[in-house]
Amino acid sequence: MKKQLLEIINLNRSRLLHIGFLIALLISIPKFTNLIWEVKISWVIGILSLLVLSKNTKMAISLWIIMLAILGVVLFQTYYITANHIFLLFYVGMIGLLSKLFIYESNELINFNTKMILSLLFFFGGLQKILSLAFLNGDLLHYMFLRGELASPVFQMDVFQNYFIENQNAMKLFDQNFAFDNQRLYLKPLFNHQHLIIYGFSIFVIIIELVLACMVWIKNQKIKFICFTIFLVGLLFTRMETGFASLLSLLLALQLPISNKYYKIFYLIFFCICSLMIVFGIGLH
Amino acid sequence: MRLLRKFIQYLLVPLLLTFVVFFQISKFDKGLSSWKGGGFGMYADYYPMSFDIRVNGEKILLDKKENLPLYNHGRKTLINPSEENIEICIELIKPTADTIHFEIWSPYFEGSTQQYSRKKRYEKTIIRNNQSK
Repeated sequence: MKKQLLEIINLNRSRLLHIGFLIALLISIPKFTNLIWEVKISWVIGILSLLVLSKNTKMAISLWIIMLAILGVVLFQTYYITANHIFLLFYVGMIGLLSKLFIYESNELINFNTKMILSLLFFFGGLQKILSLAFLNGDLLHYMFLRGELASPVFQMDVFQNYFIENQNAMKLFDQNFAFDNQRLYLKPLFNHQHLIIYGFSIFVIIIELVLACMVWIKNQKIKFICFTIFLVGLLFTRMETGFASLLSLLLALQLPISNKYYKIFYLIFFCICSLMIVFGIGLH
Repeated sequence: MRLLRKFIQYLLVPLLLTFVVFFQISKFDKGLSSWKGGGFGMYADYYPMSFDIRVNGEKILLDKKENLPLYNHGRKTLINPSEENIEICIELIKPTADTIHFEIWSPYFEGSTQQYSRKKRYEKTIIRNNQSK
């Protein structure tokens, strides 16, 4: 048992990437094609067994191409309405293919590309929020807060629930009867200086995303691990974005130096938890 | 050759990602939502499924049970109001008028005054001739 566990921990980047990508792909693709969960499971078993059987590089390259082609077709058909994490999955797949095409440099190649993806992802996430006036002036997060959507697990507590349900019902009624531009609905705040605090939080979120974009490149793994773990937990806690969190944890595991086994185990456990949540239909994916 | 090899190894994926993001941002003025399309703009704007379609001032109900094709195309149009999507939507709504005002309305909240309302986000006027009707 201990030996088997050590083998998993010692997975090299290429193999880790291969398995992680396959799991993520197999979980995501059937969602598009509305396949039932039994099909998902048989896909996972079928392709993972193919992976185990295919130890030679040519077979692995063919597998990567097939997987990317499947994903490419799905992306092409639904380009504008596809969630961002499916694009992320495609980039991860591309790194996988490149790692097999340039097998002798695969380690540095995976490390550099995963860092680049993480960095660009956080940078553009921050940039999009700066471009959105509703986010920048705090109105969007305030709107989400009033509906109880900013941190849904907290807002499901009895103390707050009535306030949010009242707001949601008032908005629903307003939307049903909305007829002209000047109609307005006043929603009372829950605490003093509510807008100011939420505005501050909106700016804080933008700063955090831009800081994380830079933090990908720092060498102190401990600080990096703490910051990204807080972000991942926050992502799950506030938005339940299981699809995005699973891919992020996979990328974070891939960018770690080979010696950081414990951090790698943590990210892989996180990846498995998120993947399981997706299979059971929990969260956004 | 060595440079090309290095380019493919280290720059191909980041450049593709950057290109997709800028392509998506360039479509914002055509009404594309930041939530989808590879731009990593989730939670940067109001969720498109909270938007409404209004045709000639009348709110169109997107109900899965009542009209599944309209529900599917309506949701696509809320995310991406392209000409093709709008056309399909109008075909499914079947309005009788020759001049069609197609609008998308989104929620709007003003934090400083604590006031909620709805705002026109996208509009298009289509004039149909008798033949196409």
